[in-house]
Amino acid sequence: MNALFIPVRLENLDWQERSFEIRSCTPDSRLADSLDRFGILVPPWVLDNGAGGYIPVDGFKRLSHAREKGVASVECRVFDSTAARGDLLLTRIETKLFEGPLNPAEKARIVSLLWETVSFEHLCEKYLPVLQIPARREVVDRWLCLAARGDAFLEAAVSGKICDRAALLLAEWEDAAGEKGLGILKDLRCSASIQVEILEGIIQIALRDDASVGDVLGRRDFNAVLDDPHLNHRQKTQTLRSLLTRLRFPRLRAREERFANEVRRVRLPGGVQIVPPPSFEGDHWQLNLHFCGIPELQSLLDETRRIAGSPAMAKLMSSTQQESMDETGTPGNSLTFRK
Amino acid sequence: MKGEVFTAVMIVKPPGKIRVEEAVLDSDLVSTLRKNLPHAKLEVADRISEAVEPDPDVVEVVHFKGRFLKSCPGTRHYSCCGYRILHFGVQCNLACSYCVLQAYLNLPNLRLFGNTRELIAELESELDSHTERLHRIGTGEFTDSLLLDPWTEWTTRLVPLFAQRNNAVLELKTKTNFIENLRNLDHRGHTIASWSLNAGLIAKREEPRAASLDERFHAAARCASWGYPLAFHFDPMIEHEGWRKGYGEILDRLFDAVDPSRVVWISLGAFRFMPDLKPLIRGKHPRSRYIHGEFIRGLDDKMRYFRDIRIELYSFMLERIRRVDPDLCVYLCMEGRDIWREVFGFSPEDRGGLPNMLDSAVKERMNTGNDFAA
Ligand code: SF4
Repeated sequence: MNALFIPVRLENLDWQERSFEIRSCTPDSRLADSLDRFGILVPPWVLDNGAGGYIPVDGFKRLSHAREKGVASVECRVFDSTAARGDLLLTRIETKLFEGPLNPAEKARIVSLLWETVSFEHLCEKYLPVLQIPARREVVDRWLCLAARGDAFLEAAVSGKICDRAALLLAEWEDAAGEKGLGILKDLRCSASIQVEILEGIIQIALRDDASVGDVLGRRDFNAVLDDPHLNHRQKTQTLRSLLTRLRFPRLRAREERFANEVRRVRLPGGVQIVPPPSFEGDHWQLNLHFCGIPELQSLLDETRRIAGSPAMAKLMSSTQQESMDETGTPGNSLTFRK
Repeated sequence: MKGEVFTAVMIVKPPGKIRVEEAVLDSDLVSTLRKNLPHAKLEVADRISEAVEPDPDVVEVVHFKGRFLKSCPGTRHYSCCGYRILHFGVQCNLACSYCVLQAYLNLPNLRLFGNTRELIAELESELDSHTERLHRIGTGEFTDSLLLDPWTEWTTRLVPLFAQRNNAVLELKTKTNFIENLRNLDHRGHTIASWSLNAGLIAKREEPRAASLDERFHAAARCASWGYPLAFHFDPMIEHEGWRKGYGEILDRLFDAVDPSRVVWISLGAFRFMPDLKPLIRGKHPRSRYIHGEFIRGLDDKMRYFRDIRIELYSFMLERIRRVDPDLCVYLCMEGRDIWREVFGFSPEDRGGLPNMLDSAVKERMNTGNDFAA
């Protein structure tokens, strides 16, 4: 590809043509500072359109800044009109890839540009490893959705208000649900793993109930938590997580609650704790004893032995309280979805 | 018959291509396939690579270099039945939505092992070297036992072989009704014809290419009339709306179709899966909502229904089976002692272990294995 460094009059730039643009969605203040102090140090790239005008290829922010400052012309690297647009785009991406870490907005845009330009195999082989994106079709689809989503998503992801995975999950939701989900995560200000847990919970409930994520987001109980004026963002996050777990695992949750009630009823001595297996799976239960000195240990053991032989203990460990299904086998306390 | 009758019929086309590895080109299996599939195109290769594009029209015949007899993949946490698996091929194109074989991405095609002489030799040597033991051997772990039988006639070799052994029984586990080859075989009651069953709605939605439940019952009744002992496997049991009605009806239809005294055992296994299978099922069968049920991570790292759900499923089935035949051997596939105790009131260990319980069922219902020296 032939290119010359020559001054280009900004009035000759086609500002509407942004097909080469890879937006970073980051604030421009540092760049603006530097441009004010030192001017344009690295010439932007433009493509001669063969009709006396130029298409911006690289350096959109630099060029815009110059225009805002009333600069008439900027030295650019000008590719002549015979340059193949696809090759030029790949060259642009190539330099971008090795400039340093890319943010989610840039990654999403690069994936979508490459999607239009190279084969899926080529994308997987050459570019996705550099972008640190798993080479799977469904993952690429998510990045494409994110690229197609509005700036609000990209800016939230770039600014760290939502994590990349949450942005990718949200990008696949219908418009209104996506916006609402984004708003919720921004309000909750929770960690990346909790963001993903919340979104996955919503998705799983929707899939199970053959409903849309929008339907889950519209639930009254769900919104009651979000709108509760007495809860701060941390408390809202916790309450929402509990609600989602109860909706997602109703019988496990019911068992946990029953277990907690039974433990209270058994009246274990202080310093004694019974821990069921995780999710009550298997038969390895634990008994934890905390004591100071032998007399206290002996008294705890005596008391614990008495409790171990009681019917209350058997009840505590048993799963048989199974009114959870109705006669037809419809899970009774698994929440059937109500719109 | 009681209950709703689903009319789905089995959709299995004869393979249109036989792709064979050079080393097994002269095998009996390839000759039989060519005889029974005269229009199939024959392709010969030095070696058939593993990661090829899926081709539903092909059956591959390869030279298998591993052990043909494998142990049932039990774990220390969940009681295993002590079965041995006779590994004669991989894959299945009945396309059940929950099938674990979908995860065998590098082996997408129906594949048979052509070195059958070596397979038979290994099997005979195993049976002969442990004559003191009752061998329960099945073929339906990595494929369906009878899916390709119309073209391989594999049962015509295996069934008579087991008929000669007083210390061994063969179980052919299937969702097909491909039983014609069994009709005139001298089986001496040493081969169990067995079917996987499910609730009507699940069979219809999730096993779309398998034989309909009516076809399976009809096939079972015919096998019984030819003197074969029978077995049934409710595995995977899937919790769905109206599951009690669904599974209850299938049990009614089963016992209408066959005499319970001909049934050696019924196994129950709630749906469980490796976590990796979930995205595959989600992608390939987006309408299969059961995958979003109340699953927790089991002690073997597989996802399982929360235990109380499993207990409900099993207890319901056990109670319904016991009403019909209190002595019929019912067992749980890959379950822990605690679940056994809550469902049955005892654990396999209390009865000498699950393998021992199944051996007893063979002795009692098949009259086999009582006298190994005979
Ligand atoms: S019949 Fe068995 S092996 Fe075949 S697809 Fe169904 S589950 Fe898989």
